Amino acid sequence: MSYLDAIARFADALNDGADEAVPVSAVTRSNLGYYRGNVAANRGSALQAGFPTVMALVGVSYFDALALAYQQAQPSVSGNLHDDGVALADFIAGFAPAQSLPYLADVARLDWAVHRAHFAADVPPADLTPLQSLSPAEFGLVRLSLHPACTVVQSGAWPIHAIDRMHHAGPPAQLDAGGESVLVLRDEIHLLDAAAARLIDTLQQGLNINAACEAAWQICADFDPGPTLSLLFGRGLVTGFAIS
Amino acid sequence: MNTALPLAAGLGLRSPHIQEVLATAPTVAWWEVHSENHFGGGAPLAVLRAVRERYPVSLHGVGLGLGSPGPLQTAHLEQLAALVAAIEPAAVSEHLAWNRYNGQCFNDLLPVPRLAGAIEQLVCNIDLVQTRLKRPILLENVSSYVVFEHQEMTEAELLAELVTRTGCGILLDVNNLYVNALNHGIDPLTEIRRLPLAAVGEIHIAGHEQCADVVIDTHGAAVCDEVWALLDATLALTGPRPVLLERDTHIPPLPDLLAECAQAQRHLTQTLASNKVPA
Repeated sequence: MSYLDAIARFADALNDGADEAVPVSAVTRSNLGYYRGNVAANRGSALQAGFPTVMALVGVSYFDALALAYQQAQPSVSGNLHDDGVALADFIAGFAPAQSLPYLADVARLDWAVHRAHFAADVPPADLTPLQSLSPAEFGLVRLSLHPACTVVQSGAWPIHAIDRMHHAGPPAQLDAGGESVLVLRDEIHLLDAAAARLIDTLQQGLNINAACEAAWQICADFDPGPTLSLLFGRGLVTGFAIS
Repeated sequence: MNTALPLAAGLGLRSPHIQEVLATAPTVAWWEVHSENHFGGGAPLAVLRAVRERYPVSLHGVGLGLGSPGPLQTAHLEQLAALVAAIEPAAVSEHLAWNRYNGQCFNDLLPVPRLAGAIEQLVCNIDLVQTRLKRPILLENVSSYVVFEHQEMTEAELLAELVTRTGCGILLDVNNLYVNALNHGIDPLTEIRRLPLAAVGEIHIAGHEQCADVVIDTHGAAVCDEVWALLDATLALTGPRPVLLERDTHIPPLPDLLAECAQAQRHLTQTLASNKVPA
């Protein structure tokens, strides 16, 4: 048997428990289960680290069962365990046993955004000098690239900021308080109003500043985009731009 | 020497201890981190830069899966290359293991079947990494819980072949050899004598745990007497080498690890006293 055949059969055994086909000695065959256990434990630990708020909400044993179900549904695709969990929020949304916790998927989205922002690449702010000579009309047509450690998470129905703060020594969250939007900036999280969230989200979709403001005004007609744009420029979160 | 590591005992550095290390600057000759824990930017990279300002650092990868069939994950290699450029480590190492098949990852250090085709795939992947990083890497022997049938060579013989073909070095983990001795009856010193000893650039020691009828390489306990003895016997064969103490689970307070690291230094010092430092 070739090296490739042996690995193919080992992989099948890890997925389906088809241990008999793996070309290992009879006396060590039962040890294949240790590898299944190691893979599950390694992924499980990584998911625990990536989703601390979800775990705090449901407890360790519930979380571990959820993580195992996720692993079976979603094979790992990266050798870096910090990449595991990209689809956990969507999985939770469709996970029948979690239907009694309807806010859990949105909390998982926030956990994942925080996790990714923690490890996001360092990107220097853009040199903004060319923007300073633009007229207001020209400025409105500018499209911005934002820092990879800057993410907006929006929940239509659940107070995800309050839930997150509750698990960082904040006061109890009121689950009927309505939806909240959160700005994740590297290792910080900030409550955003919905219009500001829409503004940033629209910019991240590659639309220009005018279009982002229009989208925000659809949420709140008297929204002032100035403070949000000042935050993006002032905190060095604009890493590139295109002048139409 | 195929690394710039000091000829001294170093310690594995894990996230629970990084801030304490930066605050107290303990006397440790060098630190080794898991490369993947510092991929990207932000605080994980910033703290490692701060450690690097004061100490030599070794980057030890656990996720590249050099023994996997097919091409390596480009994004993973690029992130490693960026980290190497940022940290300028004294050594870069990976495992003689696979973790990927047919687009799926299995996040563990899986043993490479030493069967037809293995050498060619490993040579291809090691060449790719060394070309991208513009430096040789050290390749670590692993603990294994299974024994493939009809293998063409021992792990040490495979490592020797890879050293010849790629110019890589060897990270010799004596705990892994000891675990394989307990589980499969191999003789660690016979295996070590099969290695091109001049290529051994680093030695690992760690603890393991008994789990039912198998010894598992958990890095979750203190180094046992038998592994200390094997370290001494290994150093007698290789001459003095940088020795690293690993601890990944049941991580004790930093002073406990510093004491165990000092013990490793005493074992190395004995060897230094009775050996000339190799050129």
